Amino acid sequence: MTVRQNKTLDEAVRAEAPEWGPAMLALPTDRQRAFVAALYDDDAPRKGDGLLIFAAAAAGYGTPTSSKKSLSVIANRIVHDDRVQAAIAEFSQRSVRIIPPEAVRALKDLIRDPTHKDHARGIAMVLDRVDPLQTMHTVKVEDNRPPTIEATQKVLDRIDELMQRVGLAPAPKVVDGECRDVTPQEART
Amino acid sequence: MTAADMPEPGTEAHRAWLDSLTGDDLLIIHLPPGYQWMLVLASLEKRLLQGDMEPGLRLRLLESLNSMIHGLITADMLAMIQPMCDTAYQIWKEAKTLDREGDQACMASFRVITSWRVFNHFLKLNPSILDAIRLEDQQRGAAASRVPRGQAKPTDTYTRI
Repeated sequence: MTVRQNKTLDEAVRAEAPEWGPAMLALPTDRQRAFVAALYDDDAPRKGDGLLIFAAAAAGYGTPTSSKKSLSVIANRIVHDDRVQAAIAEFSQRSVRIIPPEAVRALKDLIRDPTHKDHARGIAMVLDRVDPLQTMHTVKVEDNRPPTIEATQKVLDRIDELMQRVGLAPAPKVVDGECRDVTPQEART
Repeated sequence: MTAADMPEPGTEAHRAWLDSLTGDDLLIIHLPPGYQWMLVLASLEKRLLQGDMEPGLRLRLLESLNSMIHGLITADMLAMIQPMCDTAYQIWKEAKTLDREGDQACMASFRVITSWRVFNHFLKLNPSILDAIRLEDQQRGAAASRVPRGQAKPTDTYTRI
């Protein structure tokens, strides 16, 4: 940690990462950029084990004699800055994008090691991506709704008509009676 | 025969109507609809067999007719059924229009063809079907018409149109 503090980290950060993203560029100081970059350092401890203190010290905050407590306070102030948080999110995305080569190497190692407990799983994973198992589903939709009453009645009427045509069905009954016009009032009563 | 006068099943009027049935009407109402369908189908297949067709199809129709001989239907009954006439065939086709495409069960047309009204139309157009039903009654020895009223009534589980 002291080595990093001594080699002017601002300059080191500029040299190691010549192209920052917009969020990193928006940070007001190079020390804040160095703080963000230090969070992803290979030597950095895990969160809860002094990550923020490490990043603050690596970025050059405090003095060589600053206690961990004071570095922790400084680091917390920095990490709660909206601009720093945006820069962390941006840096995370960029970091994830460069992981695949490492992941591929690790997978190769796994496949080449038949004694590894996940050897078969690794092979299956690769094969699934290279030559995925294809499943075909044939969906048969059956419409079991009965015909409507109207449709059935239409057919029955047509059948009666056919019967009447050959003279084998009685003609529809004629309702006999007297008709007269009624007023709405009479109709109600 | 009062073909179109069947009241709504399950009603008092329907029970009274059943009690009023005699003779052939009683025979018909006691014949399960599945057998009614098969008798109509037999007349249809005989009509189809009159025409020209490939030997394979002819064999299938003959095998279908042969397979009908079971339960109440005997070879003698089947032999007396005459081919369907043009009007009956038109009625059959009209009823089949109710079946959806690919419907193997043909329940819609089954319900129409075995309904009291339409089945009676088939009997009028092709009296040989009624003769076959009469023969079935004779063969069974226990004619439905001889069963005392009130002791043997068709169930209402099958809703007729």
